[in-house]
Amino acid sequence: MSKPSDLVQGTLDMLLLKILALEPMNGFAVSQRLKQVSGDVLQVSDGSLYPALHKLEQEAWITAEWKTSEYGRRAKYYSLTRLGRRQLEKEADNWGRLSSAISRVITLKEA
Amino acid sequence: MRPEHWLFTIPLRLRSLFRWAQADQELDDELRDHLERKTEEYVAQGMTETEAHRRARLDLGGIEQTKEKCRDARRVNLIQDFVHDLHFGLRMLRKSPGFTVLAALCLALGTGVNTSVFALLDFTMLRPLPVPEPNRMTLLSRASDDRFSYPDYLAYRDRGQTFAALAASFPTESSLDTNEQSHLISAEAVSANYFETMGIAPFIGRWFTDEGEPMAVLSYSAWRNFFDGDPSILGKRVRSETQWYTVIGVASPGFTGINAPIQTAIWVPLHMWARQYPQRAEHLLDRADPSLRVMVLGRLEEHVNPSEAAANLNAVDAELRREPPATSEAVAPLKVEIIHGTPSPFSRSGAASLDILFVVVGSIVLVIACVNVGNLLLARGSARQRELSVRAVLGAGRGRLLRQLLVETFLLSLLGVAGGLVLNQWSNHILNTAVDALPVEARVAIHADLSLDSRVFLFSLGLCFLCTLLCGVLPAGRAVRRDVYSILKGGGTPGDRVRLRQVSLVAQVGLSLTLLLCAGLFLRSIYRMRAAEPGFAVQHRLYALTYISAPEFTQASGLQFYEQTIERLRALPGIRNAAVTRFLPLMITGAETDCISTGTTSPFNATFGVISPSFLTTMQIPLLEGRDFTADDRPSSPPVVLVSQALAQHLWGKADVVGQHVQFGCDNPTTAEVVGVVRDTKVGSLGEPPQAHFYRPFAQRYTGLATVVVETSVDPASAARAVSSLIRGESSGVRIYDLQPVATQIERSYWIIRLETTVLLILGLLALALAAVGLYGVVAFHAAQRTQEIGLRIALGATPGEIHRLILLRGMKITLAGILIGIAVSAGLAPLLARFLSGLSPVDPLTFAVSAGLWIGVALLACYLPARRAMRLDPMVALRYE
Repeated sequence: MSKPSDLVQGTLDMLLLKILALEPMNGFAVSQRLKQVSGDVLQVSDGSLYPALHKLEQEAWITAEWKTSEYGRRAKYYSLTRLGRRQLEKEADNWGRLSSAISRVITLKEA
Repeated sequence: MRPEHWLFTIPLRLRSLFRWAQADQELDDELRDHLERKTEEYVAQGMTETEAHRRARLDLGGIEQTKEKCRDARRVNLIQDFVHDLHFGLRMLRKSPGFTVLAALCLALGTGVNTSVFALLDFTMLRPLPVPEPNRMTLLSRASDDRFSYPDYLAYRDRGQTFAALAASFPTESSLDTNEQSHLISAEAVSANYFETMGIAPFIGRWFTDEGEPMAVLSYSAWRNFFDGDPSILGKRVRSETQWYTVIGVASPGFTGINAPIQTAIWVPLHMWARQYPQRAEHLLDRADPSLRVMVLGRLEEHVNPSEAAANLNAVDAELRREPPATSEAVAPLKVEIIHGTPSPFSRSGAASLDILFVVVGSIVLVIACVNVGNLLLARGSARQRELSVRAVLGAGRGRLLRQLLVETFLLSLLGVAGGLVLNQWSNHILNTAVDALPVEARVAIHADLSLDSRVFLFSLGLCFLCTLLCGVLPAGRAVRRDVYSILKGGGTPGDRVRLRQVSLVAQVGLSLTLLLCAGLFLRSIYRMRAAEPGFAVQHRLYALTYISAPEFTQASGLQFYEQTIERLRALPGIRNAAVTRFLPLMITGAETDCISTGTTSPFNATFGVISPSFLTTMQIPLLEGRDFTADDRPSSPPVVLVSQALAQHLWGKADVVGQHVQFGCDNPTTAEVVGVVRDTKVGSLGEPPQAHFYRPFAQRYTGLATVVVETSVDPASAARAVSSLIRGESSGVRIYDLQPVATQIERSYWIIRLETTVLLILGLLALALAAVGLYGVVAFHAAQRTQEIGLRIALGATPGEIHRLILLRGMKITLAGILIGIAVSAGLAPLLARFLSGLSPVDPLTFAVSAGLWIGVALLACYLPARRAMRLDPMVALRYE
């Protein structure tokens, strides 16, 4: 229940990095954005989102700071680091190769 | 992960670890913030405040669990948990001191024994030489022979290209004289580059520069013991054998030569040493007739491995063999081996079987100890079921509980290993005391350094982890696998746990029986040795190990001295007869051996003794055929030998061999006439079968070191003083090292097997006690569990006898199964045991019956107590039980 079952292992990290690459945001916003862009296809529960964010932070791919939001609320904002950007490029690259390979296989015409 | 990435993450980890409270607070804030926003969103979608809050929490999947996962993601939990587990474990151990002490004691016994075994193994087999870069130090050998002629050594040294340095050493027994007395010591006659090859620095002074100079290097302990650590020792003159040497250096304390466990006391240049023996010096450079064969030690060039060095040396060797005097004999290839443990292959092969025996016994004791502690932990696991269940319900994961139980076991093991190290010190002390009881001629030199060093320490730490795994994993796994809810409800079946304890008990009974059997076999073989006839008279015999040398004595005057001494001893009141031999039979140092053949048969190694004409009559060894040696067998007369029955049988297949000829000597055989056949005697050990043995006349193989034996009509100890002063006489050059009744010497001849037996017996009884306590525990537990049933049976009219049988049967089944296993294991060990028992079959029905009987008796006792309790059960109380 803690891992989104239909999400390829390690893909969540890449998605989170990508979302944070657009702009720094807090955990709640990340979860909203994830839902929004993937159109409810990628179900990531809040329960697995936060541990994933903390793991990325521990790997020094993202960094966090407490900021006051637009409504005067204090929240923890995550942003991508230089290391994180490099990691994202690497993972996106891998993903591109993997997905194009898979789609080449899938689109083979059946005899 | 790239290294620089690691650099970035270190501060983050440190922050998580040390600013834990702050990080946790932030985590709390962050999740609360998330919940608030989510609630607001749901409210905006039209839910009520409470419903929205509930949904938000559900989405998060349990706040505490999510927090826990976030902490795990930070990877600091592991360390914190460990510290926490340590605290908790210590508290639990303190809470039940009885259990802790018992378990730690078990483990201390188990690990203590193994620490000693490892120290022995390390000393004999593993430890590198205490020199710089020991992995480049090698020893040369050919087949099982590690001795080479001096000219061969020189050729290898000068023509070989793979050694940075190649040194020669000739270890020998020798003497060292100080002001008042003479000491029997072990010396090494070495090439000048010996210390340079070793690569070590002197403690004080310098090393040799030339093999021809009369200079000596003392060992550190010889310097301390014989010269009180005299700081002005350098430049002083000391005497060893016939030669005076100037001391030029003292070796550092760690270096005791290459002949361990025999410790070298003095190093002297090879040529100076050989000069004392005109024959040897003359032949030193004679390849065809090497009078002196040396050990060759090499320090490999850097980046050269032993097989490359061996290939190079074999090429040199082949070339050497083509030069005159060319020999067509095929020889085994040279081997180059890195030195581990004691360099001499001879002492290694002696130690090997002892090592194997001790490793097997040590492992058995360790397994018994661990199984015992495992059993205790299982029992404790039952007692702690509730505690563990409550913690599981409160959110502790299975892995977390497992980890905590293992940390507790680890703490126990740590305590045990610490205790084991203390025991180890104690057992080393015992071993040293045993070595002190050794005959003086061996004691001076032998020292097995088994003291604690970092290697033993590391091994103990490894043992600690092994113990944790051996005794902790199963009980801990059992404890956390339980169905939490049924336990909290008060149920739960301990059935499989009892079964596990029974299985482990069967193993314990089996293993402890194996140890008892081994001890029993050793004990039997000692008694057999006691009862065995040595083949010569022991009572009323006294011996003195004496040593005379130049300049006071030459070979001729030395021989004359011994002959006159015998005559004068015979004239003493209370002395019936006297004789001289080089070494008495059954000396702990073992008999001398030499190659022998009829000239047509291939030579083999036989033991030999060197005796004076009156030796056979003095020791009452019957002469079966021919004549004894006489005063007419002079150094210059034709060589003669006496042979034992077994040797006659071996060489000619018959007893009547007087007048036949033999060839003895491995390198340059001498032909000698057999003048008589002598009844077999024990030579090396009391347990051995008849040995192929021969005798040479003392006059034809004179040595300054010889044993004088006398037959007394009075108590031999009372004659000691008179004998000693007569032998010493007026001459200042006569040294006496050991003066004892022969009976004492015979006692000493089996001190090694007696030591082994004592160790085995103590361990066997310990294992018996451990297993018996375990058996009692299981039977008592089992009886207590069946209280209700037994009450019912009594109420229904079962007699006390029937109840008694019911309980006894349980324990006896376990015992019998264990006994069967024990006998099977011992039968498997038979080939190993046979090496020690010299003649006694390792499958000895009497020993088996006695050990099994002992175990059954102990088991009956262990089962009797719980059975009696069950028998006296009041049915009314029992039925109301629980």
